[in-house]
Amino acid sequence: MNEHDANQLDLYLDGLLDGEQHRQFELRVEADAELRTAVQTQSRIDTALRRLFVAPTAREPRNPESVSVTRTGARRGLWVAAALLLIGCGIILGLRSWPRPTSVVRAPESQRSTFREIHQRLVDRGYTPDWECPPGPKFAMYVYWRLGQTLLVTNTPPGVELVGWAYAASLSPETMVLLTRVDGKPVTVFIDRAEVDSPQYLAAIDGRSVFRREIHNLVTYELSDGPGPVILPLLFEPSIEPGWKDIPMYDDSPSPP
Amino acid sequence: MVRRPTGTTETGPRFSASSRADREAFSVRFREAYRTLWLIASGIVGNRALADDVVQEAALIALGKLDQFTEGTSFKAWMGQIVRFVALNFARRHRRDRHDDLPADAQDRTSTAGSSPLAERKGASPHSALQQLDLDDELLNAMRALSETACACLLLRTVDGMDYREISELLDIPEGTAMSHVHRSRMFLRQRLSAGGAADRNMT
Repeated sequence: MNEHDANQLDLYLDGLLDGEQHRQFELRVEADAELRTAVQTQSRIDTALRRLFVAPTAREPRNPESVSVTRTGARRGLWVAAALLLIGCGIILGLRSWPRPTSVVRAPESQRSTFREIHQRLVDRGYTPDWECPPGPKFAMYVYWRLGQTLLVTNTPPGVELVGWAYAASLSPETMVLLTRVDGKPVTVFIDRAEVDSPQYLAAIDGRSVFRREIHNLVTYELSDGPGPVILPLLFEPSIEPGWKDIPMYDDSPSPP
Repeated sequence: MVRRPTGTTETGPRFSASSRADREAFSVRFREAYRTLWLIASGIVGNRALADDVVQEAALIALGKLDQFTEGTSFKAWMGQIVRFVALNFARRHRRDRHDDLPADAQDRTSTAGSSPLAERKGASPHSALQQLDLDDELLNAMRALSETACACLLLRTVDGMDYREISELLDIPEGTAMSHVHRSRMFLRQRLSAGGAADRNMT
C-alpha cells in the first residue's frame, strides 16, 4: 500500500474525512482488493486491542499518610503490618455485620450527591412513584426490556414495602429507580447496567450511606440511613419463564415512559 | 513539576493531602481517569498485568504532591505525566520482553479443540476461538517492537478513543508526533500481522 493510501486509511479510521472524501474512499475500498484487505485487517487489529486492553476495576489509591512515601525498610514494614491488621479487622467486622451476599460496597461522593438529589426530589414530592408494579413476571420483564436483564425481589420481610418505580438520568439515561420503604422510611434503589457504572468506593454523608451490589450484568445501589443494605440482598435474577416475553408492559396502570 | 509558593491566590479549592475531603475528591478524579492512565502504563511498560501497579504507584506519588496540582487544569494530564514518569522508570529498571503477559489460555494451545479453555470463550466455537487467540498472540508479539510512546499513543487512540490533541496533552508530545506514532504503528502492525497470516486466517 502506498503512503497516500495509508494516510487516507488513517483519516478514514479517525473519522477525519469529510462527507465526499468518506464516500470516495469507501468506493475505492470496494474497488481495490489490497485497500480492502488493509481496512479489514485494521478492523480486526482494533477489535483485538479493545478486547485485550480492558482496564481492571480501579482500586482505591493508597493514602500516603498510612504508607510512608520515603519508604525506609523498617518503617514501611510497620505501616504495611498495621494496614494489613486494620484491613483484616475490617473484613471480620464486615462479614459479621450483615448477611451475605457479599460484594456490597459504598458509592463514591460524586454518585452520592446525584443519588441523594434524586432521592430528595422524590421525598419532596411525597415519595410517590411514576409507575406501580408489584413483584412478579411483569416486574422482572420490565427490567429486562429496559436494561437487558431480569430482576425480581424475593418475598419482602415485615417492614419492607415496595412502593413503585421512578425514572431519573443518573448513571445513564436508562437508570431505573425503585422506591421502597423500610420501617416506614423511604429507601431508594438505583438500578442500571454494570457497564455504565462509575468507579465506586466508601463514602457517607449525614448518616446516609450508599450501598452497592452487582447482580450479573446489572449494578444496584441502595441509599439508606441504615447500617447496611436491606433491599439489595432481596434482589435476584430470575430465569425468563415461557410466556414472560409476551407480557404486555402497558395496561390500565400508568404506563412507564 | 513546579511547586507553587504558599499563599498564592488561586480560584477554586486546592487539594491538600492532609484534608480528607480533598483525598476523597482526588480518589473520585483518579477513578474517572483510571482507564486512560492504565492504558498509558500498559503501553509504556508493555505489560498489562503490571500496569495497575504502576498506576497505583503514580497515585501514591500524586497524593503526596496534591498541592502542586492547579485547580482548573487537566487532572488527567497532570496524572498522566506522573504515570509516564513512573512507567518509564519501571520499564527501564525491568528491561524485559514487552507484552509477554499473554492470556492464560494461550498457554494451553496444545489442548484439543473442544476440551481446552478456548472452547469456553463465550459464544465462540473452538475453531474461531483458536483463530482469535492466534491474532491476539501475534498482535501482542508485534507490539513489542513498538516504542513505549508509540504504543501508548496507539492504545489511547484505538481503545480510549482520544483525539490527537488530547493525546498530545496527556503525553506531552506535539500533536503531529502523536498522529505520526499512530500512523506508523498501524502500518507496522498491519504489515506484521499480514505477513504472519493471523489476520488472514481470522478473515476466513
